[in-house]
Amino acid sequence: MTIELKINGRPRRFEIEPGDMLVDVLRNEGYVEVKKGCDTGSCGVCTVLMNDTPILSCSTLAVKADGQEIITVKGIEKEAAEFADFLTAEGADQCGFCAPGFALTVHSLIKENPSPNEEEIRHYLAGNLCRCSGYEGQLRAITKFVEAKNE
Amino acid sequence: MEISTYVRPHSLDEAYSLLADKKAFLIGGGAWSRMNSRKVDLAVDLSSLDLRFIKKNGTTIEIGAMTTARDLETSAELNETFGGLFQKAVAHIVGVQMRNLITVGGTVGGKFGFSDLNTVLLALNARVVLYKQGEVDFETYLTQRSEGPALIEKIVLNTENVSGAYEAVRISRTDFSILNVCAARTKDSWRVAVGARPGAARLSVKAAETLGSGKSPDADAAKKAGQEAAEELDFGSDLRGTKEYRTSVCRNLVKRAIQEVV
Repeated sequence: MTIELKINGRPRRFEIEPGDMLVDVLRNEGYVEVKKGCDTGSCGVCTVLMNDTPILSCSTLAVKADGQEIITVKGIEKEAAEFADFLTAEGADQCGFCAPGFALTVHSLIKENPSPNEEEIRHYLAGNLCRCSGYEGQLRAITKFVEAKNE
Repeated sequence: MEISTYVRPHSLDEAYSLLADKKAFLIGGGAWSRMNSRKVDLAVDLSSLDLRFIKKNGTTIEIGAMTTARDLETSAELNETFGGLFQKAVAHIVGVQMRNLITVGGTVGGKFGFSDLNTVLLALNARVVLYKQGEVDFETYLTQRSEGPALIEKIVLNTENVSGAYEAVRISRTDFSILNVCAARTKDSWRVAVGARPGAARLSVKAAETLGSGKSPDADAAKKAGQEAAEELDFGSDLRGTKEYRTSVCRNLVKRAIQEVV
């Protein structure tokens, strides 16, 4: 079957099987910035935005994206690069595999809640796992990134 | 999940007709599709039926089948009416990305044992509105097979003189509950529901009888209700907890939930 969607602002048309998952379709079409981690809906590395809402592309049927707008981390490239500077400054980025998912989820958090407190950050980011850093550095990075955005 | 044909109907009538085919499978959020090894001839997706809503109508709140767990978490109507009960019940379902996918209809229709939401809906005596079949109370829906296609349109909740509290135990913050409990008080009665036993949520009739119509049961009554629930309900073992552990936790969570309502 055919699906038509926008990815990072560009109209695309793909032939898919109805049971295909969005992460696989995106990666097969070259959007390899969408990472594949646990593949069971637990780790958040496959996060993309669908109509500005963060979702897990490993747990979304690709057909559900038909007619929708998808944003990968490349769609927020400038903001993601700024966020990455804060991550590295706080020693919160080691292998970097979780960073695209974190950047997109932080983007959504700030959009929903421009001045989140620590508990709100922890709660919103609970679905993004990192196996390198232990989260404290990321928490500091997000807090400072939010402060910088609000200046 | 292997799907042969995928359809997104544009009316409830069309969806109902498609579901009358016994090989058809209803898709809500589709969040568990990856982990489902089922082969589906016909998948019916309800995304185009305007079933995503939370509406307050006088003394009831209606929740559409395609409303997401995140919608429940952030709904001002639900949080004002039930004092954060829904927020607390769904807040630890994986992460915000998963809660943006999971739908009320998918959770209720799945009758999942691990569900946090179904425990709350059972305690609140929710009604499930099935297209062409009318309303059925939540306990009947959970425990009986429906005749004909079960196409959930919405869930209806009474809001008059209702208050409730939710408690759960988990290994880690975003994991499934090992056990969850919701205690709810109406004007003249109590309902105590226990889920993740690990089977689907069930009511403790004895706990409710112990509490009677009491508006403010004391600590002894709450403790006794917890013991009654633990003795009355069946528990099992799985990788998250043993039957004995769940039985023990049930006593305390029921007591705690009742005291929280009071």
